Amino acid sequence: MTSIGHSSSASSPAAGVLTAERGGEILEVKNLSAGYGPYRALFDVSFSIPAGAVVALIGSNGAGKSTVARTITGLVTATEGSVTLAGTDVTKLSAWRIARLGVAHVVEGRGVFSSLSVEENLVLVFRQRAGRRSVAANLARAYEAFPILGERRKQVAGTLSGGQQRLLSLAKVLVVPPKLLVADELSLGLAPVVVDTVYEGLEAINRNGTAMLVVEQQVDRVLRLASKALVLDRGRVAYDGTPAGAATAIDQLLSRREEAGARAAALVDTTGGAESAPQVADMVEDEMGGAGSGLEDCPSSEGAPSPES
Amino acid sequence: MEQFLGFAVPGIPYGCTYALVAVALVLTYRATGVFNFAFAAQAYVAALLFTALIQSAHLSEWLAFVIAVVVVSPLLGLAFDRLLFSRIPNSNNMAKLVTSISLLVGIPALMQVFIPQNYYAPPSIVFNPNTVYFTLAGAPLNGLDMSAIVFTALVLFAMGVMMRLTPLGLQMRGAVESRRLVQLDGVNAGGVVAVAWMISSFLAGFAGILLAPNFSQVQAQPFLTLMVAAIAAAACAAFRSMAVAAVAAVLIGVATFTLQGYLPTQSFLFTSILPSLPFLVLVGALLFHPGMRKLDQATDPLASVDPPLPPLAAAVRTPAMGRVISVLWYVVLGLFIVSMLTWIPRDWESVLNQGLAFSTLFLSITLITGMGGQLSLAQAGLAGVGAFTAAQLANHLGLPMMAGMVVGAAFAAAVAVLLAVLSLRLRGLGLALMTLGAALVFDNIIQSSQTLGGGSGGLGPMNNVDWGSPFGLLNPNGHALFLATFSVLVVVTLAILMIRRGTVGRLLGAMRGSETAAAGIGINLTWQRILIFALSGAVAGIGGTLLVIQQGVANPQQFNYVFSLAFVVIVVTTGVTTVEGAIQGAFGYVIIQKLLGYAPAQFANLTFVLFAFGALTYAQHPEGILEFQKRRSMQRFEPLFERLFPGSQPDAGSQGEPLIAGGLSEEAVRG
Repeated sequence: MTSIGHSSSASSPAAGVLTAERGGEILEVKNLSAGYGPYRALFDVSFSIPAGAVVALIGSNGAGKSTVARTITGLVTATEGSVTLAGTDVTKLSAWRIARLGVAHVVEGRGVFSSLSVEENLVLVFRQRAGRRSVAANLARAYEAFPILGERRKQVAGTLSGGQQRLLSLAKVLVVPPKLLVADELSLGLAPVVVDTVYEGLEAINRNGTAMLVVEQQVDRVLRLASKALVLDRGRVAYDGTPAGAATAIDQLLSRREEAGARAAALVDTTGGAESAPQVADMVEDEMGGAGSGLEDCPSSEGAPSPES
Repeated sequence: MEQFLGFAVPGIPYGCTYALVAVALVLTYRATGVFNFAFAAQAYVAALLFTALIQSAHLSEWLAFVIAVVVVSPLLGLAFDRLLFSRIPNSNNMAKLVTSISLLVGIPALMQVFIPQNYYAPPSIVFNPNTVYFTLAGAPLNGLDMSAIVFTALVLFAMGVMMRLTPLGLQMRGAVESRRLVQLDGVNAGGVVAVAWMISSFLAGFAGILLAPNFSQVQAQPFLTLMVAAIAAAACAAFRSMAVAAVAAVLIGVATFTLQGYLPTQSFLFTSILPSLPFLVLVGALLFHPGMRKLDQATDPLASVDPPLPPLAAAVRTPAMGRVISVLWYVVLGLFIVSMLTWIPRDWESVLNQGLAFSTLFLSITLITGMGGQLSLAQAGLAGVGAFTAAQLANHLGLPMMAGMVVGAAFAAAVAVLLAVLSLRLRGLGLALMTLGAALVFDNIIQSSQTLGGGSGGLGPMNNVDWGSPFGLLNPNGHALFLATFSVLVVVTLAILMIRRGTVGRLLGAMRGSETAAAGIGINLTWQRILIFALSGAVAGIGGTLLVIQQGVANPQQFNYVFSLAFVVIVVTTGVTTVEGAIQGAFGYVIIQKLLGYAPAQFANLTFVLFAFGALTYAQHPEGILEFQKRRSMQRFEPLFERLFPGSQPDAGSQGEPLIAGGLSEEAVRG
């Protein structure tokens, strides 16, 4: 697995498409807002990823982590703000153009074509990322690193187990290292041993210069790898700084929520009635520094924010 | 054995004709994710253009071929993709279905406006139809047979190679599964899908000119019927494998010809069931092929990127606007009744009576699609079941039509229940195909059977039975027909409004929002579905009977399956979510048709063109383009309404909010 990152970087023609100046930023996100239809998920998000850095993006359910990832790679169009990749404004570019600039996105869940075979899945991506000539070589490398995929190369991907499908989607990005890797919930549903391997793979391609934005719920794990951390809370950046500080930021966030939840519970107890529910909601809103209520504000596709979460 | 071969072999080229269409249908579905009902229309356009270029413009065959098939057909496909289908989210199956059905209805009608001449069959290309090339087991294969066999084999081979072995095929297969995921791999998904549309449209055009020499004239209907038969073959392959589809098509052809040879020619089986064989195969495939049940299942792992679809029937009106509209409705209603009884001339009275009958019929679509959330393409057929039941009872037992209507409604409801039970596990496309198959079986039976359907002339009143006089109580020459039809419509409308506001309406609303969630809170989906089918069938039966009473004859052509498609298109344009939508659709339909009667004959079909264009906006305006426009123009007057009807401020929070799964505000349903 560790060998992947080293051996393949040279063969990638995508190398050089994005050239961040040494010490510069590979990704710059400014005042980004985005959402799904009438539902807004991100509010004025700004951050940057230094060249070669690993940035951990953490936050609770519905905080907008996946939306940040999707907006960067063009799956979701930003309503305001800009995304700049190594000096190129990509805010309005479609996803495939951004992908061709050397950005890879491992999506949450099973990011494979379930009706195509394992090999077809890999051929599809290698052809685009590394050119037709090196497809065979890249396939060989993928099967070497993930022998299980080699055994099942003719099998339709939809019939693989969940973990094997994750491996396949990892093989799609690890074998030909991109310039920027956006990984969404990589470790979700994987056995701990496999998670170790996955992170070794990430470290390996990072040593070869791939910058990363890693969205994770397993906070400890990703903070060890990261050189920088971002905490999102309800569509806004709550913390942007060193990984060490992130843990404290999360604790603060959680304790504030617990406090708000406890207060709300107490209020319900004392007033004891359903009529006061809106009042309670308002109090919780104030407590948490939220900006008003209503549909416009809730990232509803991932569940409305609730005091318990 | 020799006899068997003698019967079976001529079926092979016949089956190959199906196979060509079936393979192209499978390709379109696999490469674009759209089940292209408009395929028949595209084939017809190419055949018509090809023939017109040869017979009117006197171009050479090859030049005509290049223009019609190589240039125009792919451009048409490209236009479909860029202008329509690429704008519909992949998960919106209903919009994809409605859009392709509108194209199917609208394009042939449009062509008839532009090219009104009747053309005889064009020459066949490459092979000479009068030459016998081979004799297989005693059966001669002429040029038409040869072109069917050779070109089908060629297309099958070329498509198989493209999808299996080329990068483009791989990208197409990926793009069908998830356009977003394939983009993350750096593939220009929009471009790939556009190419897929162009290739499949080229095939449609190619099929069109290959098939045209088989028919005596270039008309849309045979293409349509052929396509539906080919769907059966494609369904046997669950729209996945082109090879299986081709084999199934050939088998259907062989089976048809073999049975034709063995069955006695005068039997019911020969005249009625045999022509329905492909549709019975379609029904069988839908029932027993596991792949057909998964047709509309979302495969896109990134489906959550799309904003959630609005519930099918989210009628959002501010209370003020609802109030104004309902007042206007009562005014219009009063004027209508008074006018019908006083000054309206006879011929227009009969047109408006027809409008009332169609309103009832269209309300069955409001029930099944607007409330039930299911697209049924059998409504005209169900109306026919009701109408012919009533007509037969009137003729044989002397039962008044109005009484027969009740029996007819019950019988239509029973047929609808049977249909519902058969299609319990089908959704969206599967259900649309099942109902279409049922409508075609009904069509074939009623049209071919002299006893049941009265042959080509239809069933007329006999033995001094007066169809136009309800219960024999009212004078049929006065306004009896109007009063009777009108009261039936009022009763049906009130019943639907009550159902909608009651428990059943709420349960159906929940189901439209999410079947899973509805089942989760304990709603019996099966029972609700059967119920709404039964109601819709009964209302369709009533509407059909009214139509027959109004026209004085029950003609099978009135209930042709093509009308099932057209009716859906009409109601979707004027608003499938509201009762007033159905009524507007019916009156719009009859009035426009009457007015176009004054124009040159070629414009007669413009009605369908107009409604089809309206229905193309379904993806953007699922509530109906008319309803949308009404709402928009009303919004301009909103300040005025507020002044006229003070205190009608909407509740805080309800304005602009998509109502929970089809929870229609009271005002929205008033009609």
